[in-house]
Amino acid sequence: MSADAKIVGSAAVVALLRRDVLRFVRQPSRIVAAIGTSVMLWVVLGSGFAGSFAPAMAVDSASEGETYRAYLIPGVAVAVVVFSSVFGAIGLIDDRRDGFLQAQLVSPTPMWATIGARVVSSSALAWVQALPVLLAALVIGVPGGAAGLVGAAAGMLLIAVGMSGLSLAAAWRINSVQGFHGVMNLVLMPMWLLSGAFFPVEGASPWLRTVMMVNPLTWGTECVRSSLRGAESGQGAGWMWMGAAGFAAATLALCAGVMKRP
Amino acid sequence: MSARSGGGASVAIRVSGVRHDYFAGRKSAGLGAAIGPALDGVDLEITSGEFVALLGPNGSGKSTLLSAISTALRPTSGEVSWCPESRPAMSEVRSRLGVVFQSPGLDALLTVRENLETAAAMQGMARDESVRRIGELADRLEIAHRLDQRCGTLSGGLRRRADLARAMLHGPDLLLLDEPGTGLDLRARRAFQGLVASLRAERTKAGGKPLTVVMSTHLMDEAEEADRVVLMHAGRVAADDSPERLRSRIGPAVLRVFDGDQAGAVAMVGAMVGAGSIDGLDERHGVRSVVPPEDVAERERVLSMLIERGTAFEYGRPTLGDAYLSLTGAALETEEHVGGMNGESGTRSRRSGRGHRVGTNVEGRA
Repeated sequence: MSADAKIVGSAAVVALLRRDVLRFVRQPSRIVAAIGTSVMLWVVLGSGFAGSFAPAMAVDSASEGETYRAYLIPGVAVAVVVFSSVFGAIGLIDDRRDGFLQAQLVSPTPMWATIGARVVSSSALAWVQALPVLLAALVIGVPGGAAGLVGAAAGMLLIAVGMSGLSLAAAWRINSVQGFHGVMNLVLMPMWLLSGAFFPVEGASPWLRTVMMVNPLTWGTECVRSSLRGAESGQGAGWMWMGAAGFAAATLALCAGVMKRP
Repeated sequence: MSARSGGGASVAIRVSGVRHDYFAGRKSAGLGAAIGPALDGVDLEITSGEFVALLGPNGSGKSTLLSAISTALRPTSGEVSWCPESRPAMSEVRSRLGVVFQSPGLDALLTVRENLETAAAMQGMARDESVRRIGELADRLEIAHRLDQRCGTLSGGLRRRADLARAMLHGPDLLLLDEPGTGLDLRARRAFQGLVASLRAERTKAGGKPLTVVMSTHLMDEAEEADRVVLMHAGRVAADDSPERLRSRIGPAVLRVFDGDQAGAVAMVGAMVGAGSIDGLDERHGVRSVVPPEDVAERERVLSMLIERGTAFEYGRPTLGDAYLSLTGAALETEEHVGGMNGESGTRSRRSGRGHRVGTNVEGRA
């Protein structure tokens, strides 16, 4: 890569990040939705499903003594990250429709900068929107302490990068928001529901447990949960971290493979 | 005959045997069937400094051709070369291009200034340079007072101007305009054309590399401003010449008879002036264009007959629309064409019974 391309690319990444941040703060509905979604999920699911998942919680040795509301916090954080990442990818479809993407593609901005800016802004905004959920963890009490919070934030960042990469790669190939939502509902909803966000993997039936264990979102969710609980309570947490990081790297590679100029 | 300027000027763009197919589904998945070629063996050479208009109705291939020239589309076959003598790298080609798309490439939530700053960064411009150029272009395009207004709140004409500023920010050698008049009224369209013309003139006056402009349009009045008009039909180049030469192919005058509810009037005129002189029938709008008799007495007889019958007609100099109809047998989209008839004087506009707006200098209607 030439020095010129690096300079053009770096300046473009900064400018595109600034643009996405401006877009975000100028749409108050997105901020309200991000906070509202997490509060609603935590309060409603935490109150309404506590009894339903009690047997599954009892089977899970790691969640021993933990309330369902406390158990749910990583799941809610992951939900916010996942759905905010999808919003970031919808921005790509909007940009294509509005002509902004075409203007970007016919400019000398290198593709790595276009992809990098999209992934960074989408994942950073998704991550920031999920951070308030960690405040709820503070209220409940975090066995993992400050290190646990940092670890959880890192886990959420890996999920944000992975889901942003996956969503952007899909959005690159899909021309309509409706079509994109269809695909995302087909892929992301099952991924989220079967990530251990709602109920422990250990409480699931054997076949479902297998499905959940190969779900990349389970790895990220487990990173967040094990961090909040404290490292010693995590079962195979190291493998989960490697899996989550590998998934994020794989989706970046997918973006690089899919998002190309004509 | 071609209107290429030649004279030793360098070639800015060469389009060689370009064909492009769109597919009903995703080609790579083997799901789609080709929906006929959008471009079918197009050859075109554009000289540096020329203003070329690609004129044709929707679906004629002009926007696809412009997309291929803008690097936004890779044709199925054939080749597009930019500055073929020097063969620059694609990143350099893109740094020399300024593109105004049909949908303005501006973010509605950002101000004009923020949009232009983003565009400048994507072009790799230094901060100081971009601030200077934004100021210059904002003054030049009369949007300085709107720089801190969000693009989503601008009128269509102002948004076009802001988009033109975005496209011209880095001082491109080649400006591509895709249907720039879409959604604009006549006044805004003329103002936009005036700005493009003045930007070209300024570049020439400054002695720098001339600004080459390629514009796709379905509007005759926009194409009239070009040095050269490429008539596009069914993905092919139907004709390529100066506007004046294209019009002169028809003859000195054209008589247009509006069918209305009187199909007989059209047939009658056809019979009176002779079948061989009928140029074409715009079935969609019920308009028949014919070359009127050269003999003055005969012409007067035809016109008197039309007036007596209460048939609406126009008589005047041929337009590019007439040239298009004559060459292809198909009509340009005319819903927005205003002042298309090149009458010598007293041209005025009116709306015919089918919403076909035209300019006339002689008309008869009972």
